Amino acid sequence: MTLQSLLPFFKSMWTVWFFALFAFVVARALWPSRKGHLEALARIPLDDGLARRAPKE
Amino acid sequence: MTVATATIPAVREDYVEDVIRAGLIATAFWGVVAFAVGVYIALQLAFPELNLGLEWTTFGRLRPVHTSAAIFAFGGNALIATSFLVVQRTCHQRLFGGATPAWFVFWGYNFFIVMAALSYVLGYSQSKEYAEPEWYLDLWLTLVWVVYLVVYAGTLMTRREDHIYVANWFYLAFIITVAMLHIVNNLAIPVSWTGARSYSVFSGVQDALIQWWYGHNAVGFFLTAGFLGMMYYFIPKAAERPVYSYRLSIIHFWALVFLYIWAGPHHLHYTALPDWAQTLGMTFSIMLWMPSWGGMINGLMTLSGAWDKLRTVPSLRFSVTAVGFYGMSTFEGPVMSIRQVNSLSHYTDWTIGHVHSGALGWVAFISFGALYYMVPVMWRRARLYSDRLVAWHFWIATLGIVLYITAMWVSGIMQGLMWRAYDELGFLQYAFVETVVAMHPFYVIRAMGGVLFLAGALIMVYNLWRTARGDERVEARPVALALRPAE
Repeated sequence: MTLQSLLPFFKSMWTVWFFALFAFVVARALWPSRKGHLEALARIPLDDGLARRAPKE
Repeated sequence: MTVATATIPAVREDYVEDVIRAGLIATAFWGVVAFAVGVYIALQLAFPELNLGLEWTTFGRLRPVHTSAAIFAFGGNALIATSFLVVQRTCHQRLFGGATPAWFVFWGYNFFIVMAALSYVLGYSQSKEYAEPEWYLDLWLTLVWVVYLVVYAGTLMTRREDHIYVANWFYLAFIITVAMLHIVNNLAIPVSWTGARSYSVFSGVQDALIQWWYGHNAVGFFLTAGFLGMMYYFIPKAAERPVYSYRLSIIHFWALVFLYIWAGPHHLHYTALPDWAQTLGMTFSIMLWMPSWGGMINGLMTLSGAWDKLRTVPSLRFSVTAVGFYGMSTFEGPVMSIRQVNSLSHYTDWTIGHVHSGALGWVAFISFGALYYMVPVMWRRARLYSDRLVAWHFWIATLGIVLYITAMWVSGIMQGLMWRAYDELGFLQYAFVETVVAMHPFYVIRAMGGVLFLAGALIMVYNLWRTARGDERVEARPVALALRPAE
């Protein structure tokens, strides 16, 4: 068995690699202890100093 | 190098903003051009005399002018302008390299658009849908796009905020993927170094597959990912609330980029493309339904508990309706990608209706929402010139879209059914020209829908122009309800 002969097998594994990578991303996003941190990041655009001026009375 | 958010001043006065203002003007200008050309070619289909008997004004040459003006000129300028604003504000950093490279991107990109439109009218095209410009224009766009990537990525890399906000992920995916698609699909050998013509390095079904890998991902990454970046910034800004679920936005992003790139082969059902590749494209298209609706729910639910803002914030009406159209067209797309459905819908006007529910309802409406939000902010005005004109624009444009897509549904399904109808002896029941005659009323209705959409855009341009001038129309404006605790 040579590396050359293993190549087709590992090339065909891309579905598995991608699925594992995606599962990791989802797990990391949904990990319960990270919820507070991630949801706090949603405020970034609200704290960017870009706002309308108050309307004239 | 990043520093803690708490040490960042709220406003940096040295943000690059002139180029953003220019981008907003270009967006509005090209929007009107794209819609006007669209109306004209819709009328050409209903009344062929409008081809005028001149080669420069035939439908075949004006159609790519319309699609390029809508997608690349209107949509592209909207994306570039909003991305420059979003990346600076969410990274608390001036554009990388300052104003000069950003101006190069703006002028270089718009020069490309003008040259491309001229080349179509003069009869130069490499005959690839949404990739019509010939090799010399492709090289120029590559240069402009690389500078755009450097400016954008450079700003991200020098950010003064720890986290890269999710809108930037979508914009960056748009910039990187469009670069990859553009370069690969436009690989061509010029006939001569002094001539405009070239031949694609691909041929046959490989050429078709590369083209629709490009074509569908132009939809996925130019017309979807980039505008989702817009959604994730401008809806929270206008609603003054964080996005419904930041965790859902992360999953939305990764699911979209993992799945979209495989969906292209659904454009090649019942062709020489191997069956397994057609099935692959169909399967990934159906899977795309899930992240698309996840994103739609995230955008809509951002308004949860604050739906009254639709009454008081004019731009939100467009942004939220856009998300509704996004959900509708990302449901219709997977349905049409199913091979058996596609056997009826392909090559018919149903496809045109589907494209326009996405282009008008999603892309244009989310851009209008961003324009209505950004113009008062960028020109330092307290409010829009007129909220009432926004409402007129909204209802006229919505009516235009409804006329357009319903006419195309009826026309397309009728067309597909007439093509496949045969009599008891096995002969086709209708000649091709009979289908054309049957579609005529729907072509007229479609053109009327386009006229309404164009009229709405002209109202918008007037409203934005008066806003930029600092005018305010005297009119009753809805005020936000003051919330009080229950007694």
